[in-house]
Amino acid sequence: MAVHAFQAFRRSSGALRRRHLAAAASCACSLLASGCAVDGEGPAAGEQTPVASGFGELHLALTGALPGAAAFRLRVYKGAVTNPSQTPLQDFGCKAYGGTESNKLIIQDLEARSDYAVLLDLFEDGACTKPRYRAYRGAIAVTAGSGAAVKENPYWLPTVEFGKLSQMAQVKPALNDTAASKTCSIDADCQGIHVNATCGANNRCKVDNLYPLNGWSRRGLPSSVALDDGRVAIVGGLSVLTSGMWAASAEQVEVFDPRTAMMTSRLVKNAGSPVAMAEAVTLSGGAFAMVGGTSRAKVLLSPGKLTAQLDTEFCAAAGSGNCAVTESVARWTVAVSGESAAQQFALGLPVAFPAAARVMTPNGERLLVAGGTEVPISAGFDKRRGKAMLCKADASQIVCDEETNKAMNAGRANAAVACIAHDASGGCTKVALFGGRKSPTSPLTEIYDAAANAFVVASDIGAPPQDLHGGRLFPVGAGKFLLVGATAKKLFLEDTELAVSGAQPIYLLSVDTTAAAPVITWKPLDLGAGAGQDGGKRLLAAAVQLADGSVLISGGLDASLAPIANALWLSPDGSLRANITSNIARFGATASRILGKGPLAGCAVLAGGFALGTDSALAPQNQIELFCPNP
Amino acid sequence: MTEACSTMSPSDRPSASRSLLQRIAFAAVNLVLAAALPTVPLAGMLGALPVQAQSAEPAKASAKQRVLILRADGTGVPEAQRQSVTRELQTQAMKYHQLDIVLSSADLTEEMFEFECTEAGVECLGRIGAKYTAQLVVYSELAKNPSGQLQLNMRVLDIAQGRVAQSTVQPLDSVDKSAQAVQRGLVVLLGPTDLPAAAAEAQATLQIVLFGGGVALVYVDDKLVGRTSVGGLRVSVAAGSHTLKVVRAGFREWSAKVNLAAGAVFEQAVQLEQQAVVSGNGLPGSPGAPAPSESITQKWWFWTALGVGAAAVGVATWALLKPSDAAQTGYTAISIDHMEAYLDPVFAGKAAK
Repeated sequence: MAVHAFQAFRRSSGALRRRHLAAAASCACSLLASGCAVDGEGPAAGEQTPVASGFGELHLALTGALPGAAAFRLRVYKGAVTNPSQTPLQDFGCKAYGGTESNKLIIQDLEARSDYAVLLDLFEDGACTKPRYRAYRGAIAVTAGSGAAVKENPYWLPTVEFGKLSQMAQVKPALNDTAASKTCSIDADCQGIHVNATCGANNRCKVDNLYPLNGWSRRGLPSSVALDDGRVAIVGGLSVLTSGMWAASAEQVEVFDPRTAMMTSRLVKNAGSPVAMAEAVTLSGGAFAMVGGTSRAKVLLSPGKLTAQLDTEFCAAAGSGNCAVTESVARWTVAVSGESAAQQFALGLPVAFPAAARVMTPNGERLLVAGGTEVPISAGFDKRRGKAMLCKADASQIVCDEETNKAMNAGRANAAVACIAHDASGGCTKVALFGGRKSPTSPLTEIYDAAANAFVVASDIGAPPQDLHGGRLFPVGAGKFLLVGATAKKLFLEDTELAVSGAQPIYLLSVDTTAAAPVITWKPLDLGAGAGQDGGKRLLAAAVQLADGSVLISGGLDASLAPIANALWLSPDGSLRANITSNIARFGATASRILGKGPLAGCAVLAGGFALGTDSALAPQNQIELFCPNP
Repeated sequence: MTEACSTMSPSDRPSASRSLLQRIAFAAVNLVLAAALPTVPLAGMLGALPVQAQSAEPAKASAKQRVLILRADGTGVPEAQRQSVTRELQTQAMKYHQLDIVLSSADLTEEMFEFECTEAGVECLGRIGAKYTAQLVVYSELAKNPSGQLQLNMRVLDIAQGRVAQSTVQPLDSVDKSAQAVQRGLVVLLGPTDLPAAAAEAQATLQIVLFGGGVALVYVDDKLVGRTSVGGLRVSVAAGSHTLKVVRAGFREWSAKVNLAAGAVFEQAVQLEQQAVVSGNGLPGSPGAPAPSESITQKWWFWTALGVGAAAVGVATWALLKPSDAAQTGYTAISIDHMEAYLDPVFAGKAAK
């Protein structure tokens, strides 16, 4: 059965928009002196108005030994930390780190508020000059009155080790052992163990996650986008396996908020069907575009074989509304507080894997939506679209009627896209589309010139690949780009079963737009032995660019289609900076960098993907990992 | 684009006592619904059955399943009562426009006589159904239970599979009031009816999506219309004002008033709230799990909270902000120990320790 595409109406209310853990959050609030900061739909911790109704104490103990830490600096703030110059309420200075029990600090007589933040830096040296770890948490409540119940429940600070992939909150094994010993019929049977406990398929309780201190919904092949205010939205993803097909998560979006270091899960009014594999493109005004995607797909992994196929069962009748492949372009706004909403523009037919990029045209900023393929896929007939459209998005609507059939030079689906020229204000004026063609007889690369509103074919020289599909491009200097995660296979399209990944190497591209016909120079990179056996050839890896231009490529499938349990950190020149062990061998994850100036700004949020479960079956992931480069 | 609008009115029963009442109500509702639940799988099965066009009449309705409604059988009940129930059966069955309903042309005893049956078993009903080129046969029997109470025993036979696909027993206060029993019975056997043909043009499509997944029962104007699956539930309903209700065991009942425009696709995302756990009520969901962790006295903040030993173990204490006449003092604790994350106040202190 297909998940129906709908363009209808989502009605949200306070009750509707509360998350699964609303009960937990509200209970927490009842214990705290002031308003709740953890309910996904409540005000953000850094923005709420705290209620002062007495005074309390803040006990700070650095329990949990951190290897290699010699000293620490602990600061307490009133309100979330959003910039490094913010004055702390209390700065304990540089103190020797004694391990588990020796560092206990108490601040007495604090005004009862729910918006305190604690920032803890740990250093390798006693003088606090070589940072090793950072722990941060906002939305901490100091309560008045009897705090007996609260003090049994310390606030947990997510702790990241610089230059490593760090996990967020993990379920204590003993807790899950306890849960597994209890039989259940419904989730409520398990609530006495932990509020996040649910009744598993084997009628045993389990604690699957510690949301909001980690992700909630399991998401394979989700999208993510960095929002202007520092939050990272993780959108969609395949979540539930039914009748051999994965269905996208109805939990539309979860947001990592660096002001609280917690996740919030939100419903988005008028968002349409849940999707996976959509292109999420940052727009102005804190919004982002959702282009492409599918609500259902087949993804199976067995030794030496990957099955990856769109569900196009109901896609024959265009506009039927039942096709799993998205038929619209959307603008989403995920509010910090209040209602999150989306506007949709119906394309009139399902289009899979279009390319999308933000461009600055003579008429203002637009969203370029180029190519894609109509479905169902036909082996003998190329349905790739050689057309592009421009969409105008504002706070009230998204409309794609200005330019609806701009001719491209090739039909392309799942092309890699990059902005290769900017105007003085930073707007993108030229967008390059790489690959995604069905046949090498079509041009590999073409460029959209926003000023001329035309596509021109680029000359590809050096060592360009014949077959190129997918991948992400990152600017690493003047006219230089790193292309990572591309493959020679038409994954999810004509190539539905792979015996080898077909992953392409990482390419360093030099783009010369000074000539009338742009020239692209392709250079495959040899990362050396440090990159491991895959050498950077990774299928369905997550990639993100960090503030210094370096690129982190995490997970993916190697040549033999085995999930990879490490990340490659590349310098902007394409050299390998580090090979970093991951906590989870996963592929099909997503990653975005935290913007802003807070203590976690510059870190990357890695989310979702598939891993192999204990039964060797694919398991979508809800685990968040943070990667913070050395400060 | 839809023109539908909605006014939310989620149920809100915050107190423990009301929660208990609600649990009891849920239990009762679940008992009633237990009989109704199989209707949806049956409906799914109906959709998968092959169409047998063995005559001109069924060929005309080739997309529909052909269902034979037998006249009611009666055991120890007056003939007038049996005929009354038969009329009600036939009236209610004709509301199933999504099915090709055919009514038996003779009393059951005569139908059985034709095939020399002595018992209304699977084989006999199968033969009768085959005569009418039906795929399903609905058999009803008006009888009294051992305590003398009238009841309507109903079952539906799947001829292709040669088995009873579903059965139900509906209590009957009196034959004069058999409509409700017949209607409930048919819902169990055949699923919900669709709309009258005259109202077909004024239909709207209702799409319910249950966040977090799971199976919930969906009611429109207190009438069960189906249950959610992974993709939610998509049903056609008459355009106009309706009250939607979504019920799932262990969660608060959700309801909303909606106004559906003709031809509109109305999507409703539903977020069910888990019910509060009522301690010691003996109902499912009561807490009482063993504690997996150590005593509070082994926790550092217990001892520091005592205050006495704080200085002795090197605890540094700072005093800030507080005027001298301040009220009581509370405590907030911090940890960077992964093993303590599950105790975080966001989990409301409900975690076992």
